[in-house]
Amino acid sequence: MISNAELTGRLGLDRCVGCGSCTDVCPSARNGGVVPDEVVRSVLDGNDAKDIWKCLVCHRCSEVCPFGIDVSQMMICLRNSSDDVPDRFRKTGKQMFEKGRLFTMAGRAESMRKELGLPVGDVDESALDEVRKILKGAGFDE
Amino acid sequence: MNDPTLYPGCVIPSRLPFIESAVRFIMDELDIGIEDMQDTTCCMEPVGLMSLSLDGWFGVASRLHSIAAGKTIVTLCDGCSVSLSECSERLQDPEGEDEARKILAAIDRPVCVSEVRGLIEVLHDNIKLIEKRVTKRQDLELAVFPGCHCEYVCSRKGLSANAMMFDIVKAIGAVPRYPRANLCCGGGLSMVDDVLSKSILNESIASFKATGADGVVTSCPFCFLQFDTVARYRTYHIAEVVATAMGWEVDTAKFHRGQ
Repeated sequence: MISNAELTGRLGLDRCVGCGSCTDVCPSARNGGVVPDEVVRSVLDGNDAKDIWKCLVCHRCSEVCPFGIDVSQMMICLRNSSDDVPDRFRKTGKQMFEKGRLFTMAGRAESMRKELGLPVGDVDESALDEVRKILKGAGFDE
Repeated sequence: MNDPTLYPGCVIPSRLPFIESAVRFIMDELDIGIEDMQDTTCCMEPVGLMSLSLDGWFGVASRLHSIAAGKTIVTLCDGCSVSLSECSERLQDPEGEDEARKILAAIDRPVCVSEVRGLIEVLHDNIKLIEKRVTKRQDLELAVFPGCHCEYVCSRKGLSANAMMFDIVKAIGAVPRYPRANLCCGGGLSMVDDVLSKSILNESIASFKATGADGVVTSCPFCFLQFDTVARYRTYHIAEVVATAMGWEVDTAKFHRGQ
């Protein structure tokens, strides 16, 4: 788990002057979701950040920051340390570990692929073994 | 482009295979010899999986770079473009390279770094040839929306995804229209906060409609699903319209839900 101080140092969050450019372009903020510059402020002040799972990870904040702060990366790091992972992402993680893919090849997809003359098949077992080894090494299975 | 290898990702092969079919047709027509990457898995995209484990993402994406063995990875999904491009940047840093070496040693694979190019870049590189090969000009007005991740990856390379897509749409005889900037399909919040997700989606659809276009064209499969399947708005994938303009004869109507 990364501390607020480490995160500030790694991403240079102390360069933030609170101009709000990140929030101006944020589709989530515009619709009542996460407010990126408030999250940066929370981290700088050593407080818990609010609404990090309402971030779309669209990276628009990182694109516009005049000081080059990777705000999106900050959100991802905060999420990595979060105990409050939404069910959707827990399920996605489980799917990745078990199947090696976000989506498996359902029957409908198989028939569409056959119709289009495309090869059919899921993730190869040996590829899956390799990926599980990597994910276990990263503590992902926990 | 150095010896391209195709990485179609998860969403297109399993949910929208007609896009993969269109891309393969285009590559043949443009005489781009492209082989399929073997032994692939998901890239651990940025919204959900990278958010769960940066270490897991770096290992899995490094494995894909190792498989590509220095060949140019052509991505069809913009989430994959972000994941594999960011991994490529980190692998070029000696500290990142060392970290990857340790991870990949466990599965007996070497560290390799590949260039990553998205579909829009490949199409734009070949725009003159596409223009020449158009046999069926597309009589459409299209709101151009590359997708957040495509725009982000391109901007890091000093490119404009919007401008490239605008050129491609014109090259096939269609008329590009610009919706407002900084939109999103809202897919990243679907099943996390459905009210917020829908509000973001509706904002985009309203902006597309305000351009007076016949529909939206995107390069991102997640955006395609949101606009077409969830919002039921007329949505085209860039590969679909380019391939159709070049003589691809697949009836794509059955793959669409948007009106």
